[in-house]
Amino acid sequence: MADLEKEIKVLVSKIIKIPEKKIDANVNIFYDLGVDSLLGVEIFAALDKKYHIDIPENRLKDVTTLNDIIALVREIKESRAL
Amino acid sequence: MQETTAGYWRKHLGVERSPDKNVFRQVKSPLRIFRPLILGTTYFIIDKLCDYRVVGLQNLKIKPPFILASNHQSNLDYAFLIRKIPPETRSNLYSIATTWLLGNAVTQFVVKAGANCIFVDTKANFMEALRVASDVLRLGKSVFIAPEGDRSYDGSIGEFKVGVGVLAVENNVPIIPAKIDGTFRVLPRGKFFPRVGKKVTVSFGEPLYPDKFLAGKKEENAYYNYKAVTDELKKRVVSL
Repeated sequence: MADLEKEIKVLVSKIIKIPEKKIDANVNIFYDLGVDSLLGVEIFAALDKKYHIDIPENRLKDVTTLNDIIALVREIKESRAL
Repeated sequence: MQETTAGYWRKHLGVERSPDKNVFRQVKSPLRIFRPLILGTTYFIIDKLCDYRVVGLQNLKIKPPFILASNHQSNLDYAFLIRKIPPETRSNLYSIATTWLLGNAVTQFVVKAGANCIFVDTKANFMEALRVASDVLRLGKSVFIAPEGDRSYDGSIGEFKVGVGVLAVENNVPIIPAKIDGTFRVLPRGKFFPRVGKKVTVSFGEPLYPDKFLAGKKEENAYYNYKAVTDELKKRVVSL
């Protein structure tokens, strides 16, 4: 699971163009890091491309931090494994 | 060509399904019977009370669908934009408007009667707004967008939101850039009565074709392709 966290952090860092070390997992990426909501959709698009998980865009409102994104991906992957 | 993340965007924009013809239902408001009154009044303000000039009308001579995108200075912008465009272009032009405009009875009457407006809660559900606009384009009609999302306070041009780039790229339609200069002096924010004698210039630029613009330089993350088109659009609007 640590690998998944690392992978998602690398992916998010690449998309929002902010170095990994500057992304605190509990910081609100929209308000504190200035990420616009369509860039949030791009994070979902990149997760879809990498993990083949189609996250409904209305889940964007539940996701504000890197930890939220990791938890969401984990939840979807686990529900798919059942 | 490298694979991009556009698949997710296309799926959620619904560009691979049949467009929903019900998007035009709102436009058929009974208030349309007042359109000649609304247009007549605004055209009187434009023609008689303002020093109004239009340049680049020849750039509108392309077949729909296209996106007409301008900066936003005043509630009168749309009237100034459409005043001189050909009637067939105007009748095929639709605006995706925020439901915020429905909160005031006067504004609601003016926009429903005066324009082909489709209302979406753009702040609460921006993807729904993009889906609706996308359906309009895929049904062969054109869409007017003010990519700043809000009116300017002083006439300066603010940041363009990337949604316009998403629509242009994923529906492969050209964007006609337009610059409105001076309407903020005629009817600034917070004012109800227009001021007379002000100079207003509306300029239309050459169409921006997203496929040509992005040829050979597409990035893996589709957002940055949309942003590149949006940034180019803003550059062209500013330079008009």
